[in-house]
Amino acid sequence: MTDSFDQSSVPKLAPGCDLTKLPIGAREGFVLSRIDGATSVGSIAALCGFPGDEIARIFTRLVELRAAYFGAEPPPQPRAEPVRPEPPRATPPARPTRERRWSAADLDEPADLDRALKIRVLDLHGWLEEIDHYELLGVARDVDRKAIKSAYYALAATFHTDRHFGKSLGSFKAKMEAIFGRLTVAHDTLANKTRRAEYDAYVADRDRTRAFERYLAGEDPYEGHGVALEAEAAMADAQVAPAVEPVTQQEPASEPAPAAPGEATPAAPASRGSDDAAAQRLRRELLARRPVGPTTVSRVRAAAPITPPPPPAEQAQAAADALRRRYETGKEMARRTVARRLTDAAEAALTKDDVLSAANNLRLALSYDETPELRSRYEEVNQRARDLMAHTYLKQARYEEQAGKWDAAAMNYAKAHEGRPDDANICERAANALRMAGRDMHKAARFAELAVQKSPSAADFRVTLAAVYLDAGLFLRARSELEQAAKIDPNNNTIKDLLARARKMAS
Amino acid sequence: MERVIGIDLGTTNSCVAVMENGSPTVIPNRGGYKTTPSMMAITEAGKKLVGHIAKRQAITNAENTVFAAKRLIGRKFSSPQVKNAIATSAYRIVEGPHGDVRIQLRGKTFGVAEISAMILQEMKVIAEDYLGGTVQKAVITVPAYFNDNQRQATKDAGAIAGLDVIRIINEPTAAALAYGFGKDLERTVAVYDLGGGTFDISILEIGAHGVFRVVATAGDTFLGGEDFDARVIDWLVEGFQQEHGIDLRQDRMALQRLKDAAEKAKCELSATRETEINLPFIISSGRNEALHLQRVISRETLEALCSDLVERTVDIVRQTLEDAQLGKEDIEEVILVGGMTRMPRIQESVSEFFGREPCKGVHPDEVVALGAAIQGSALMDTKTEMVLLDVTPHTLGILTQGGNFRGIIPQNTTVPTSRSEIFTTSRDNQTAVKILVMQGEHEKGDQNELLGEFVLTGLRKAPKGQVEIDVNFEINADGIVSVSAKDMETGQQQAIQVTASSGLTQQELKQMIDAAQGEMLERRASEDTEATKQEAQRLIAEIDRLFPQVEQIVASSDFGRDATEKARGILSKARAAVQSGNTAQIKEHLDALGRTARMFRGVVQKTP
Repeated sequence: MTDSFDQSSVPKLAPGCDLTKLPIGAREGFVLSRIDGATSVGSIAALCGFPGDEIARIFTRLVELRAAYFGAEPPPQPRAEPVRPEPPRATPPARPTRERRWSAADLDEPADLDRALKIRVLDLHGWLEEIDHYELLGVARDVDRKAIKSAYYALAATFHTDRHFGKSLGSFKAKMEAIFGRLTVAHDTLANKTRRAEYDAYVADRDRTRAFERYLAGEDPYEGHGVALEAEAAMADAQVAPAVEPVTQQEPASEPAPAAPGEATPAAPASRGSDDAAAQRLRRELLARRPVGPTTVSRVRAAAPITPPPPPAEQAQAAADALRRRYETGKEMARRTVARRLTDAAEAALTKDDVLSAANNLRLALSYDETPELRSRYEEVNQRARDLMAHTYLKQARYEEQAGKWDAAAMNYAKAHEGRPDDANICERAANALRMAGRDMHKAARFAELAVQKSPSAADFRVTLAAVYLDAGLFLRARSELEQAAKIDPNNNTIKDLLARARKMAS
Repeated sequence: MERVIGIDLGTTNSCVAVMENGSPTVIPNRGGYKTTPSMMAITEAGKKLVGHIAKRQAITNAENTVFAAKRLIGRKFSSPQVKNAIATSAYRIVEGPHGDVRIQLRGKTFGVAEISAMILQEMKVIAEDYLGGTVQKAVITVPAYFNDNQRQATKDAGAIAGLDVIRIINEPTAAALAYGFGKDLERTVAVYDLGGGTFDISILEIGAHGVFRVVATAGDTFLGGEDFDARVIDWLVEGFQQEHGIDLRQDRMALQRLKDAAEKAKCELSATRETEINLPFIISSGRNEALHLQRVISRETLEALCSDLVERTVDIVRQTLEDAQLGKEDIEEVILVGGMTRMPRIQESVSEFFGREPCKGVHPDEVVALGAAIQGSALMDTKTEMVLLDVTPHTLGILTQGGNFRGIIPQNTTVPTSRSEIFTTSRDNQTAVKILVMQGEHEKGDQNELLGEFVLTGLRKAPKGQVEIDVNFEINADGIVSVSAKDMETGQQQAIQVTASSGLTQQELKQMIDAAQGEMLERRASEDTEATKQEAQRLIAEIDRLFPQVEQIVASSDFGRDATEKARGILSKARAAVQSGNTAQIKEHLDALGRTARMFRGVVQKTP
């Protein structure tokens, strides 16, 4: 893989690219921080100590993202304006832009409504089942009852069909009525203290499980990005801190940052009010630390600032070797420092009962410093996270079960099962929900079988299994399950009834 | 923009209002009264009378005078409320062909909606006379607790009266609209509405953007001023029985006189501490001797007689607040509606319960019609920033196994709305299910109102409980209920739009509409005839009066004699035409009469 990049080619930072906005992880960020327009791929690889194919992957990604480029011409930036104004994040939050689920034909349908309202109706109707109550009402999650009421009133006055009485609204009428109905549900839920608390718990659980799913997928859901960048910065500090060769440290300080015309200087995003301090810091480091490279490189660049000729290979190699030796010495300490910081963050999160965040940080820490203690701590916290999630999925599933949302309930019971594979009750509920949703009877049967296997003496579980079998047309199996159930609970009339029926069907 | 009138079709009195220059106005009737008695009668001559004129002849024509038809509208003959009405009404209540209620007057049978239609038509005419043009669209109010059958019957009555009823709204809601409209208020109000026949309590939130949201509503459709009257009648009848051993109830005319006297005494006691009831010659005893009824009733006596009725309303209020999870302290204003709320005891009970004085700014007899006019205008004119978020007053659901009622849309749910629930078959190998759509709060189906039914067929043969049916209920902004049932396996679907039944078939309804329209034309024509006749008679009388004077003045000239001779001819022809009663003929002579009268006047004036 490394050969897809010439070891001697020199990556440059693309001008105008907002580095803080890149969707990259810690390792990509680290590589990115080594790009200075003079150091070659080979040198950077040596410097980072990452495997060759990973370096290649990272460079491919950075080029794809147009953060870095090879050759003379920087690629055109995808966005015309380098500084994109961020929508205000204050309360109420801006409605996240969602893709449109309607076509121009829908908009063209003749109706006695103005175009803007038509668009609002279509936009909202397309997402009606998915957006949560707060988003629907366009309020922040922490607003008081009064704000909920006034949001509802404003929207009701907009979408109630009485405001367009006697006009021809076509299919918009039903859509507006559906929207109004949903608005009312949202209002009625959020305006009631108890129901709002229940709903909030549900939404919080859902957010948590969604984040957990991303965590399981190896993504970094908990702003862990910030923590990681912080850690990166810490790593850079650590790199300097060991004071292996104090002389080299002074160099960057004494040498002013070069401002060669060819130098890629990202547009200063000073006007952007970013709260991502860690990212800012990384950016600062990228700029400030650029001269930290081997002195030879600096010199070469000073000699030919515009298009530096490739340094003689052996000279570069020697420099890299020197750097590497020096770097290797500090690296261990640096990594341990980063890992320690992450571990500290994890323990701090644990004291706040934020198990997921803790697991996330520990996982990141492991990637820096793989020690048996850290590994076992991670395993332990990860299991706790899984337990917690199983519990959360369970709560969600119960809420959905009560609301008759069997599909969602089945999915969440299945997930709860993953977290608590030994819980027979969950298996049974999952089977039942699947059966009620009328989806996958095989899956339902597997869950019910599992439940029976785990608790062979529970008559209820056998009844559920039998019901699934009956639905799936497996009457013989249903009969035998019910016979077993009847043995366990001979006085149960439901079982008797079902058994009689199963016998009839089987014969 | 087309005019919409708002009609408060009350149990005892009705009122009509219209929006004028952005503010609602009550329209007075021909007699100058702002309310019109909800009474109709048929005279011995077969003439229909409506309103004050019907009320005035009620005592002498008790058996053919209908009052409080609203208590019967949309009800089944078998209901206890109808049984109750039969016992207390002087007019004859009979069973209709569909188990509905009909009223017999002078050998002719009327649907209850037809009777109400006559009152609505009267209100329509009052509005048309005032506005000087035809009126077609109307918003009519009903008690909040009316079920769909009662609402439908009211709509039918509107149709018979030649009105396009664009919306039926609840009386307390209308009162709240009239109270809050255009005031830019944000508060929670309670409307306590005790009318002639019904009691309603509604809680509303008035919010920004002209939103009026009904939070909860409840009531009793058989608790009103009439029940207070009945208590007074009972008291009088019992006293009379003790004194003379005669049951006045047996005499329909006496009963009607008692009714009038009781109502009058009740109203008077709102202002005075005591009043006298004096009914001379109420009945003749067996010995052919006339008996008189004369008693003094005090406010305390009335309050004692009716204390449980007042208590009942307060209980309903308490329950409604509880159901809405509201405390008394959440209510920021109390509005009193309905004539009965003039009773001091009621005002005291309400103030005592809520811990605040009720709002004084609204007129209890007019506020409902005003609100109806506001809603009508808001619907027709989108510039009016007002939207009413109403609720369904009763739980809607279906009948399930064992005759149990299963609610799907609970009462006090904001409309439009839709809900669905999954049901299963209740018998083995059941291939069809009958969906009985019902409305009510009772867990037993037969205690609730049946709104409609349909059958979903073609289900898979399977043991009971295995075939699943998704039943979906939907109520749109117009209050129309649609119900659909879907076989979850096959996707097969059946749906109906529930048209609540007023007790009249479509054909009957159409006949009634046609008949009413015909009568209306006749009435307009006869009004025209009457006016023409009167004009002719007035002119004839004037000419007659001036004749001797004119004759004397002009007698000296031939020309004058000719003229008086001609006038004599005109007069005799006109008299003949008036005698014939033919409008066209009378009209022919009006011009000549007018000219003659003018000429006579001129002659007399010029002569000193």
